[in-house]
Amino acid sequence: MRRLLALRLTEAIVVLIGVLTITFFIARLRGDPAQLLAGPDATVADLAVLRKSLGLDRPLPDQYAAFVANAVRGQMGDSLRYRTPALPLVLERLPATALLALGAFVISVGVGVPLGIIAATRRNSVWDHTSMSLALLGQTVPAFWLGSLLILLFPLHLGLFYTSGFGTLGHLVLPAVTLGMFHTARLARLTRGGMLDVLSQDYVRTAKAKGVRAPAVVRRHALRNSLLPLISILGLEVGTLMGGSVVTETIFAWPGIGRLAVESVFARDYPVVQSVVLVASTVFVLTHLGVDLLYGLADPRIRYE
Amino acid sequence: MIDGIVMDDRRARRRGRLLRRHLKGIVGISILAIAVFGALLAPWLTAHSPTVADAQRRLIPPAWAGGTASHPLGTDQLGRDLLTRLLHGARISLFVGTLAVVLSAPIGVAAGLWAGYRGRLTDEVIMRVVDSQLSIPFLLLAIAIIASIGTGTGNTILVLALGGWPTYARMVRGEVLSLKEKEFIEAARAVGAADGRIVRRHLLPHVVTTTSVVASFAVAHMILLESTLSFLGLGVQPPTASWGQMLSDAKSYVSLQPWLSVFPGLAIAVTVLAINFLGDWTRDLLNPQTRHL
Repeated sequence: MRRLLALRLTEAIVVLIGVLTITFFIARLRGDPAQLLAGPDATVADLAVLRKSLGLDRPLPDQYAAFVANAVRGQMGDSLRYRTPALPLVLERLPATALLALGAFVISVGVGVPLGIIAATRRNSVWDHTSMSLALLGQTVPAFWLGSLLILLFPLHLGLFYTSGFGTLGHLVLPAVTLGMFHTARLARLTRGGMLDVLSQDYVRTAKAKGVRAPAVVRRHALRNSLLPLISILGLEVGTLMGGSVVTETIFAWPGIGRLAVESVFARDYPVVQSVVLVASTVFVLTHLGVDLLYGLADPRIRYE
Repeated sequence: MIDGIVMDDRRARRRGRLLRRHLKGIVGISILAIAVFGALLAPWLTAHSPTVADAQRRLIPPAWAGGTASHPLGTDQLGRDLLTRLLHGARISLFVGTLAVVLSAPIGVAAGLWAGYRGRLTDEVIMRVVDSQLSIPFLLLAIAIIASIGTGTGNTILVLALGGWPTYARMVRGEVLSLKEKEFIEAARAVGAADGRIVRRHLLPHVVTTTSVVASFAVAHMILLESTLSFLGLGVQPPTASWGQMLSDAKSYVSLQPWLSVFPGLAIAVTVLAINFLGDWTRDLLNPQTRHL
């Protein structure tokens, strides 16, 4: 286990350095990042000062070293809009995004996994066809459209929940459904696929032959084995939830990092955009690391590979 | 006589089976054909302009909801014909989605072939880049790139292509790793084929099938991403009509003029569904093992 931990930790650090490198180059896609970092109102003199202070007049490898050294110390520059350090601004908004992602996660696991189990155990029945059609629909409907339709239906027509805002559980419902829809659908399909694979295994047939009742076969033999691969998929979901939150937060005016990123693009506040990317990627890499280790605990085979 | 009935029954059943097996393909191709023709013939199908505003004709409801026959799906907040804008939006969506895949797939395949075949340091470096890029949530990566290079149709395609390649690289590398151990590669090497020739003539043909299945699903994904970016105001810019941006404009009218939100969303969902059907169908044709899923 300790070897696995060391290995995974090194990998995570390498990936984070990779993320930093990619962000470094994205800022330089059009050559000089000074214009980007100083904003549209900067004068030629401002640019010269900024270039000097950020070391942008030095060779690229020096710039890169300085960028990584600053990032590791959490110095991502100042927000152009708020004139305060960019990173704390992003971290302040992180809990709201985490809450939204958690809500979506709970919905997708709570609805998607049971739907998949029902579909797999009653294969080719009405249940199977209905839940799989719903899942297909959930994967094709764009989140921003679903959000508009939910707003049209619930707050505007039925007077339920809220069109925007943040604070109570009622405010969380529609955004979490919007964000969670795609993942619910995907989880339902993956669970069904996994269950079908396991249900055709010899040990399931043996259990049935021994006279174990169907619910017990599903619960004790099929479910446990088909949920294992799902753990690693759930880890990847966190990344897509973070990305998807950009849209959901924009529709429902949710005060998270996704909306901050979009606002910052329009405000030409590049340091904040950059910080959001780094924070979101770090969260992704860390959850991925956690899931990998959990997986190692849950499945002894992983530890010896 | 009885024989004839049995035969008919059997033939009907076989026809039913064939239809069921190819249903997704038929539906997918039909919908896509309509979308492609609509997109190509957009300027000739309607008499209206997708971009010229007409203040006299603002927010006319669809024909069946009290509108006029000259605007079958009604008009938007600037008096532009909704059907015309939907058809022109199909142009943007299909063009951007396809081009993004056409640009990203070859890069990803080349990277994957190279990483898988060369192994060692080459593999290590390419795969770490892939891992790192996939650790940045796609939409945030896209936003960061757009913040750096600016919005517009061309930049949207560029962003999607830059964001799309790692998926192919990872998949192709995996395949090459197992192919590399096969006898025919060893044989090619034994007769003295150069690395470039082995990769092009012996490895590439084996990964083309899976790549094209993945690429067809990717078109749907790219169309969704394009409309998402345009919805956020970071993709295709007005006055060019795009479905995502039409939905974004419709936000303020959702309660009183719901048709403005309903139709563009429907267009996206149906197109994406059709492409996914087509992807499912080709995958099942090429790989009978996945048929039961």
